Amino acid sequence: MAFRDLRSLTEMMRALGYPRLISLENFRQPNFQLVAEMLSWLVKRFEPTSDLPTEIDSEQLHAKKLYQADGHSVKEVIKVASVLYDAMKLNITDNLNDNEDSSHLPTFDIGSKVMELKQTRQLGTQITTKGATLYDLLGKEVELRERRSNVLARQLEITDVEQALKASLKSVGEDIKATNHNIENVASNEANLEAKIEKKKVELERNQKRLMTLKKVRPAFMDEYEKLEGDLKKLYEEYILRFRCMAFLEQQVDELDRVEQDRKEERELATRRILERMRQEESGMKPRGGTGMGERDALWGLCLAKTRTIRRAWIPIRTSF
Amino acid sequence: MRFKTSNLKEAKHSELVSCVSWMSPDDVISIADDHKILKWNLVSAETQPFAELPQDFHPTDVHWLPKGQASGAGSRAKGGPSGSDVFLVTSAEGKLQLINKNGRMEKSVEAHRGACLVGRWSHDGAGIVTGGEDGAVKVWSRSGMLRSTLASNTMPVYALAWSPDSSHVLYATDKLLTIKPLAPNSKPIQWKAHEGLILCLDWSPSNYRIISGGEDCRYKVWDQFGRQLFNSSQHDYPITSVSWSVDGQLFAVGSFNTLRLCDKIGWSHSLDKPATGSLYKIAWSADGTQVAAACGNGHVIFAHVIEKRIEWKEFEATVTGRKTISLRNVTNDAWEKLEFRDRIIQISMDFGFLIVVTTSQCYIYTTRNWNTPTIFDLKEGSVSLIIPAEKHFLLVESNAVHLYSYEARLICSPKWPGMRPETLNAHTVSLCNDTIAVRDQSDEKNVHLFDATNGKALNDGRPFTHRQEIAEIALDQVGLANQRKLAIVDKNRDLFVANVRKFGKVSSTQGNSAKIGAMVQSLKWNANSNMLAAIQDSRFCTYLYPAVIFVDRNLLHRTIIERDSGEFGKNPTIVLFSGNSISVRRADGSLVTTAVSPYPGMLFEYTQSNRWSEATKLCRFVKDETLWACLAGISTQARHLETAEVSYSAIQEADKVHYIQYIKELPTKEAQNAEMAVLTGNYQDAENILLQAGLTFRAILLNIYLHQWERALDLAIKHKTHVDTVLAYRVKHLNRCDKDETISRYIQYMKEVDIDWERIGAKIEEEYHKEREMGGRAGRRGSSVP
Repeated sequence: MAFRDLRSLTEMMRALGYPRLISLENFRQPNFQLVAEMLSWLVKRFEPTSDLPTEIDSEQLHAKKLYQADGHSVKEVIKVASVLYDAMKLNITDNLNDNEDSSHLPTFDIGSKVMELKQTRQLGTQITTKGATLYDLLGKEVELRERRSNVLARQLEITDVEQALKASLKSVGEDIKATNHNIENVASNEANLEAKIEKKKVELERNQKRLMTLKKVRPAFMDEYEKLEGDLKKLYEEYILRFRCMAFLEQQVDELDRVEQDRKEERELATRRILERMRQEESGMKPRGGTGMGERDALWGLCLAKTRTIRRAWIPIRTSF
Repeated sequence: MRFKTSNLKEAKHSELVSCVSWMSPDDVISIADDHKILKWNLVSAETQPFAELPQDFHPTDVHWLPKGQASGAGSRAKGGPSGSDVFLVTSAEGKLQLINKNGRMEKSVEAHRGACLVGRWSHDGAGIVTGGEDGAVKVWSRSGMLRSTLASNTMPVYALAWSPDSSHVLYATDKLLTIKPLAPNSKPIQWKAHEGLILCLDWSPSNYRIISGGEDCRYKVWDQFGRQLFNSSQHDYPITSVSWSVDGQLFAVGSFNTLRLCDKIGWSHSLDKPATGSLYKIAWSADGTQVAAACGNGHVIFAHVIEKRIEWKEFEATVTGRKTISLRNVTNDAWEKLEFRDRIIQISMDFGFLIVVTTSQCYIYTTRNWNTPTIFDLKEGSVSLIIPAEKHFLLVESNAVHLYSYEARLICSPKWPGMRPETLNAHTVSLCNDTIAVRDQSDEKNVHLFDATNGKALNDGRPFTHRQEIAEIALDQVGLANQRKLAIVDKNRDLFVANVRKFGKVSSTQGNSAKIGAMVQSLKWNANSNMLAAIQDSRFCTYLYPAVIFVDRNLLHRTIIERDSGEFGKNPTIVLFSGNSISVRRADGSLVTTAVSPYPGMLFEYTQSNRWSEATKLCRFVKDETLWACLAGISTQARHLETAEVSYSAIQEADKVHYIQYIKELPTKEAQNAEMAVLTGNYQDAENILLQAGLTFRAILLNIYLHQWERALDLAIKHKTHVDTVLAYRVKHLNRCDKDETISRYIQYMKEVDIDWERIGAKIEEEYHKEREMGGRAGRRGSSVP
């Protein structure tokens, strides 16, 4: 039935990994393009090297149903696809079994394999290069063989040999002469160099003496400079002292101000207290003469506090000078 | 949450499996193109052949008659195939077959030209709908007789579903989704849903949402009106199956080598890649913990939902396996592992108790002691919902609803006509310490209210009736039973508050509920006080005292704290509102926690325990008008005049203050109560109070002030006093409005009675004097200190 076939086809193609999604509605209308695409894709699955022409206009297909490219063609395509699908399903189950069998095997040492691979590759290239050179050399052999045979066939003559020996003797003699000449020249070179060294040494001594004399001389402004330096030092000390004094005095002033402030507050407090007491006594139940006593006490206290604060304020100044 | 899938090494079917369905909580049947029906038992892990189909039969769909309907519907339809023993199978040859549980074919009909692609029982089990390659949608009786052809299209119908109330059918043709009512001559809703062919859809009977999936490799979530709520990202392959879980909290999506578990909003919990080919059908078990899926390469896979995680205060419980829960106390990182004999179906943790329901038993643990749970056996063993409250919890089973205390004592089992407990969800049932509220399943405008202590229906068994279909209900959690409020969100997403208990004579049911918000997407009552958090349109609102609508309508908008809900994205839902913290789940599944002011909570605590002076102090300290408005509402409700006066003056409601002062000077308690009722707008209450206390004159005067002339005259005649007073005021009123008398009874009495203002004045003065005397006596009686 059409629906079931379509459903199976879409499922199979999805499972096989067909790159395009096939809709259930794709074959409601004849869809030649898609059938052709699918067929060529499927053929490629079977035989990857085959090359079908892509232009479908000229394509001749034999199966009449396939040519309709509608629901009927789906059946035909399924015949092809199901072979692959069943194979894949079998494969998956086999794989599952295999995996379980091999899962307990130890893992391979891939490092050594990689090394081997590299070696093999190197050897392979070596073989080819060797082969190539061998081939080249063998190609040259034809030419070389002729020359070799020529050379081997030639006769040797006595006069030629004698001449060659004489020439070589002469050249060796010339070499010896040049070497002897060089040996003689060595002594004169030596004397020459020693004279040069002597000259340089004298020059060095002279220069050193000059340096010593220059060091001994004292510049004319030096005395004045030293004197001024001493003056400056004294002046700086004095400045420091004065600055310190000023800072101290400023601190004293601050302290005085504070003391003044404290005293003022104390006085205010005392006055308030007095006022309060007076008020109490005025409104008190027994207006007695004792009221004056309290007031006097408060005043006395105030005086005492005043003198104490003054004394306290002056002591540090005296001691510091 | 994720799926734990299990499948066999060897496929039991040799060809493509096209459909699966659950027979019972532990049995599944699967049908494949190899013409075999297999039965899988999950407990014993056995597979046995169930039946053999004829060679020229290639199945496309299978569906068991819905459980729970079996007994009732079976007895109704006489002569039809009996009960839940029947299932339907559709075939690629266009046949619709009914097969009984012994594998014998009961009925076989030629349903469609070409393939019959899909067949579904209605939720009540009364009918079947099929869709075919010829584009027809046909409705059949439960015995397989053709009732009608609902629709005919040019394109094949690949998928369809019944609406939750079985009155509409949703079907997919090409790229379109159509909701077609069964009633003839009614207009269908149709919309373009996908970019490619739609292959599958499902409509949840619990949350009314629709999911669809198609060849554009996306799945989408819609609401019942066809508004898109979620659009998934593109997958690699077409979506071949979608399925809602029974409780509507989750759904599963199947594609080629893909199984996805999603939340009802649409975001994905987990993704599995089983090597199974396309998943042609996914079916959830009735308890919502497992799915079975039919695979393209002959496998049937089963997946179990695990790693469900719930939290309460410092405890965190995770379902780690089919029978294990691990518990963690996050403050000291103590771990606890709980093992069960049977499969876990539902868990819930709240109010200090962990409730675990397995297939046969219910375990109640307290958070103080994990070693000795209270255990009791379940009556049926298929719990679909647990709703906890502070003193007890509700178990919703497939045929009944039971209320248990935490000592495992059965308190009651409320019943109502036409109950279908398996479709109840947390939005349609609500529980608090003294009340159970359940939305009716046949008429969605009704809410059944039960007393939690004895299971009896409240208000003489009459359900609360709303104007519109109700989408969501929620009861407030604290406070007195007689002030229990029910929050209702109806089909138009308007938010209403209703009084659960009615006292005295209420003129109409509508006077008992009041609208307080619109466009509400999600709402939640506070667990500790009666605050209500709601997401309205793009605003996040906290109703500090929703009951204020029954006290002083004008105060409502002053007791709402509003803020922008932009941080929560589109379509957020409030999952938790406890203390002053609120957890909101965004549409993408992330949880956002936010806070509201802690002061309203404190204020409620004070007012609950009648510490009015402390409540006033708190408001003075915070200096927030919203809080003052709350206090005004609460104190007026509680008829605490001093606090009401202070708080009304703080929010500058001079008229109210004035009136309260007037009330305070009234001599009798009854008159004060009546005037308070008038202040809150309950004129009916006020009149009742006055008449009961014998203050007839005041009752008459009240009606005169309200211009309820006929009622005033009725009272006067009935009690034979002040007829002339009523007439005098009427004349005065008519003169002022320059109108003629139209009420016949007044015309009649006008002739009989003379109007003498002086005498009337004297009479009124006398009444007031009498009242003062009464008040004086009452005062002397009431207070012993002079």
